[in-house]
Amino acid sequence: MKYVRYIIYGIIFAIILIKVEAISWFRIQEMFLFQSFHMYGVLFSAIGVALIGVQLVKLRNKSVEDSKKIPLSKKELRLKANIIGGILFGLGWAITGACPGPIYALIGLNVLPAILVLFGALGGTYVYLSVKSKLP
Amino acid sequence: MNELLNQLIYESWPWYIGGPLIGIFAISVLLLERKALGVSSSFEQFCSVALPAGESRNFILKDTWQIWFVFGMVLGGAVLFFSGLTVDSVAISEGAKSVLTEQGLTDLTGYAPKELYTFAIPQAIILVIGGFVIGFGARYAGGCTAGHSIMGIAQLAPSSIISTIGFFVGGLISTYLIVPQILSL
Repeated sequence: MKYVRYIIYGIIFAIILIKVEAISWFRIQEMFLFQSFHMYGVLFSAIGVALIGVQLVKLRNKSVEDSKKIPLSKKELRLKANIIGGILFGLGWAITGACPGPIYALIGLNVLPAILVLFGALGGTYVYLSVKSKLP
Repeated sequence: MNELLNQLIYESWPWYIGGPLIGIFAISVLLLERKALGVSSSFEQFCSVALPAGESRNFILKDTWQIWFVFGMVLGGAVLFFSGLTVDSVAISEGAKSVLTEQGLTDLTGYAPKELYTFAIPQAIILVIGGFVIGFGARYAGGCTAGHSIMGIAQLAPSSIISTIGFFVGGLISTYLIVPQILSL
């Protein structure tokens, strides 16, 4: 049954991203062209709320026994990977106007060429997995 | 009240509604499922089917909740599409419209420009290449806008802050140097 829950989370997340237009190529261009505060507002307020939530979770974790702690793990710092991977991701993000979540939401919205972006992303991931031991 | 409700159902949301909801959503998933929000891991989970059986494949398939999650994301888009609760045009600023028009876009309707989002060549190839660097870059950096920029920065993780700066550096390079070339095709 937990799969049903995961699907419902996906539906909710897609609806939020679509309603706030974060899945729109036009909005991503507008953000990088510094022509509106909209996407910055979305990102900053999302991060702000999540940051407060994480702090509350940390406080709660201090006062409960280990088995009840909510796991919080930071992604490991890998300087070169974070920088090079980050820049590559950004290049694709601005061209397609879609980061991974929006790719799926766009397919649902019947913007079918987004399937091409998904195929590309799966190809890029496959190549990454094949060469990752040789990367810096 | 009714007017506000109608607006939320039929129109797009301002950032101060959608942004905080994304944050609340991420924390809800953390509390309810003890999982950190992330989307790009789903690429690895799909790909792992093609990997040889072994340690790395087992590692990737340890937790495949994202497969169901992204299936839900497609459904979520379809729910809005088939119920007609989408907008005809995204409310970008006049400034953005004039830059994009100058760069050669003629149709600013829809969520993505029809002049780029098409199965015609060369646009289709550009979309595949764009997707390729998204997939490669996200997994190399260890996450995307969801996992790094939102959940990661919310934890003040140095890797997430650096990756997000990378996302913006790459995005700015594309927007100013590559996208204008693409739009003039």
